[in-house]
Amino acid sequence: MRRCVSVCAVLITAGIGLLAQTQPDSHATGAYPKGEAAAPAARYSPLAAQGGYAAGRTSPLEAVIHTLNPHDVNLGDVWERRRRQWLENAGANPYFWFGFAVTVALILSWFVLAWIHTDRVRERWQLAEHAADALRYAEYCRRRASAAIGRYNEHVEKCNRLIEAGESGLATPETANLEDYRRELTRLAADNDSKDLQVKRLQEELERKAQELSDIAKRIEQAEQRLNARSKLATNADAQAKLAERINRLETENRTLAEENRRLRQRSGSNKAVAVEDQVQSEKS
Amino acid sequence: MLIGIHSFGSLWTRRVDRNNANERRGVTFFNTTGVLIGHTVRHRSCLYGHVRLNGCWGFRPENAQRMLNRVFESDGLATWNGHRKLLLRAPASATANPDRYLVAITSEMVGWMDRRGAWKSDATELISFSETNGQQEVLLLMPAFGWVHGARGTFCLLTERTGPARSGLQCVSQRR
Repeated sequence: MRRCVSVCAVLITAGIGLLAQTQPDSHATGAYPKGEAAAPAARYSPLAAQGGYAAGRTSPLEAVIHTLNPHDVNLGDVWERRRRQWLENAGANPYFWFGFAVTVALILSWFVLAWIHTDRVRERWQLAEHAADALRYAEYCRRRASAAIGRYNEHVEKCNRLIEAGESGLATPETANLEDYRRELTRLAADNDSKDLQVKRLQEELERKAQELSDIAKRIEQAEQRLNARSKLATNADAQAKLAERINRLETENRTLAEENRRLRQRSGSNKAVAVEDQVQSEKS
Repeated sequence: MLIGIHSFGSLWTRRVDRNNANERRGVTFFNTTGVLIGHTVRHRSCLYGHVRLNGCWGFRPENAQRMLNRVFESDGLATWNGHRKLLLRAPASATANPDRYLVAITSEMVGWMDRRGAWKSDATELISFSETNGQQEVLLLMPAFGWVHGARGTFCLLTERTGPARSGLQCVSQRR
């Protein structure tokens, strides 16, 4: 904003300076000379001399233009005349160019000053940010240092207590407080409960194993008894088998002897018959 | 080390490995403790740790109940960058005898646990502890017959006779 205001002020100053160098011309009124606008048609037509059919009537555009330019000044001519006059005065005047160069240099120097000022402001902000960072980091370091110092002091305090406790490292009645005892008591009670439960579980397991062992012993005993009975039965069956074999053998022997006896008997019978036939034949002869 | 699963924590998170083409294989699930804040479970961790399960063998947190009473292979509890991590690599045989049990305990089960006092047995390892607004949840790695002490008494972890992978908490003492 300030930069814009500066530029505007410079431009206004330069414009005023330039206007001051141009001299107003006494001939620059721009009005038409009276009597020169006489139309040649007026010589031949009274109607044209009175302004034609449009005499006394003006269009809205003409009314507006007349309002803006009541004296009917030829602005283009005025502009051209002023321009030519300015060129004659300024173009050939070295002082004008000197003043122009000085003005431009002045404006540029203002821009440079604004630029430098902006840089300085930005550097100042950066410096403020760095300073804020440094302050925050200093605060952070201070906190960490105080925490470390606190921990160190606590540690040293504990070490001192341990040293006072006879350098044993254990809580002694002189050093331990009620809370330590209560905590230790809770821990021991819970450990005891857990151990009791473990012992109970192990006893149950042991009883179950003993029961299983006695069951197995009983079953082994029963199995042994069954095996003995089977062995006895097995010995009786062997004797019976031997007896049967003997009977079979004796029956076989008996059958062979009976066979032999019968064969012998048959043989003796045939001899007797032969002897009887011989006696008969001898008696017949 | 073999880890038997008694229960999981109430907070599950997942991480997807974008480099892995198979999304199902690249998912990793993390389980930790949390407490109910409003309608959302948030981990207000006093001590943060997590249990990691890979999704490559088909694990999904929606089906975490199926993983209870099962045995997993693990490398044990490790500490990295101040966080406690337990990686459950893969399921082991169901008849295996676990060395430790993963147990999640809330203050509603055992009462308020005083962390400054003797609240767990020495052999019990702590994975994660969340505490806020009068609620607590703790994720522990307990041996058999390990105990936890709360305001409601001392609770002991017992294995069931039907199988070593099955375990349960039993109140062994009502005293404080």
